[in-house]
Amino acid sequence: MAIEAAHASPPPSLHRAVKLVQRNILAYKHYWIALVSGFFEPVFYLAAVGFGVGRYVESVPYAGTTLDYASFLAPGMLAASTLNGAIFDGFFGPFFKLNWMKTYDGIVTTPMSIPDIALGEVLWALIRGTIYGTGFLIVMTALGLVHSPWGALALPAIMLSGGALSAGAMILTGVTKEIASLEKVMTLVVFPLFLFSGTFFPVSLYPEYLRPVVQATPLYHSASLLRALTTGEVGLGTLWHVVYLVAMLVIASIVATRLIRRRLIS
Amino acid sequence: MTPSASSGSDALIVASGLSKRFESLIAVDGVEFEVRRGEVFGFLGPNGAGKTSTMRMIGCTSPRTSGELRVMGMDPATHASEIKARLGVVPQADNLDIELTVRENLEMYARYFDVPRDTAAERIDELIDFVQLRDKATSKVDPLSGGMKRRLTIARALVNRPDLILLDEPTTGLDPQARHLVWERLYRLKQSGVTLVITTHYMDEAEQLCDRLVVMDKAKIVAEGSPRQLIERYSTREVLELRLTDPARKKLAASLDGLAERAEWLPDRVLLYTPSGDTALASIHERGIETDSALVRRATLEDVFLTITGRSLIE
Repeated sequence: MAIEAAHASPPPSLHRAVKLVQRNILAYKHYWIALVSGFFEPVFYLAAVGFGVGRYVESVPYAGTTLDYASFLAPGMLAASTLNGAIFDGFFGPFFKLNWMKTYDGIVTTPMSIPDIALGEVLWALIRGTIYGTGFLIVMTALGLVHSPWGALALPAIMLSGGALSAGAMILTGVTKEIASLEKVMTLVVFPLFLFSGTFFPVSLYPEYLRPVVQATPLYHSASLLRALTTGEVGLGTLWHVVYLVAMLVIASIVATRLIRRRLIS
Repeated sequence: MTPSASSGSDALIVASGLSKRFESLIAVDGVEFEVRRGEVFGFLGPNGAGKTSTMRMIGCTSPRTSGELRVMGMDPATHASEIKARLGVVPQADNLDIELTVRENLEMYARYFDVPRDTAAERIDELIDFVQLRDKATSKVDPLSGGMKRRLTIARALVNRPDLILLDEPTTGLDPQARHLVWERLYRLKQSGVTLVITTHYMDEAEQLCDRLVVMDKAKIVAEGSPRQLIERYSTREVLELRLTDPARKKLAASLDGLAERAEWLPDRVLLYTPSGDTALASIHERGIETDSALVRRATLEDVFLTITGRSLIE
């Protein structure tokens, strides 16, 4: 057993992780439509719910004052767009590469290690999340939904959110094997997260005992951080969201790498 | 078989007391072998004998449970990336990158191995020709035939100019024509002086390609030598294969004395191990035993395996 313990792998190398990003770019040259389509989902939500349903919502209580509904919803959808990128490339992509296409089984026979692969996938998912987020941020700005110069910091916040959520999504990759579990995860984890994390309506609407549950979810922190930046309601509490997401990025990356290692090295 | 005796700089792989255990299953049980530079070394044995587990330990994708293992002088437990940089791996199940084209597969693997771009482009061109996939270079991987995928996997294993190539069941699942094409390519690699390690349960594959091999059965190495040595040691030169009716079978069993050195009574046929099959057949007919069919052939590694384990390679 001592020898197996010695196999504890070295930390990932950025140089090698980038090769996996290059691999994904090469693969997506063949599927660029899939890449583009992920951008539209939150835009459609913003249009349908923000400007459609939103017309019947007078205003939303926020940070001691009120906010028009579209301005409340848009940063929530911005956070959701990073979630989309994370699920596509931190979960779906790695799920199929791990379980169906056996892509990683081939790659681990090269000098690439599992931490290299995991870091590469998180980087790629982060890039994709950032592309979606940036696109959405441009749409928001054009629609006048960014109300503060703090909004400029939304871009790094999008990257942080994309990274943290991707690392979390990689954990899902590590614990799912069957195609049926994709559906379960989507219905029972991702969709509730999308709907109930303070994205569509404020957390103050929940009964007191439910609030801590919602406030523990990553998308809540992502949405709250982005909302603080686009509305300019920035305070010390905003920093807490950043700390949460950074911690999630680090811890989830380590956990995900271990889980995936168990599946590839035996 | 002591690795210390000859393990100079020429030994690319040295294993002693090498074991692999999965919870309750012992996959590899204290094996000892040495692979020398420039040779084709084989692991011959039935499915489940521990060949793949051994290969994966060499390839640094499966940590050993106990024992010693050095690959190119390095320990897979501590120098996996350095070892893998100099290895080419052809796994049992194809794991080509099916989201990429034939050429892109080679390009990406060249990058994983840090091959400089200019060198890579030239080498990939050569490799595509070597495995005869020129007109498929821009095709995706999925529509390729099994034989083409295998050849691409072989090209992929060569993209880093490895010192050592590990091939796990390189022709399993291929039709005879595709197998011969793969064998022919492997033979050319052998002639160019590359060290190959092959696992197989096909005795003809082992006989044609291997300079030296070990026979594995139930997690252990049960014999070692060149194909010729093994046949000489464990079998007679010729084998007489007989198909008989039940009465003839009984009659033969009763009057076997002096006919053969050894007999194997398989469900569908009887194998008689003898220096001369024709002489043995003549005396069987002299004794009035009728044979449905009789075939005299030279002994193979299949006979070696049967002699050692009492079972066939392919069950």
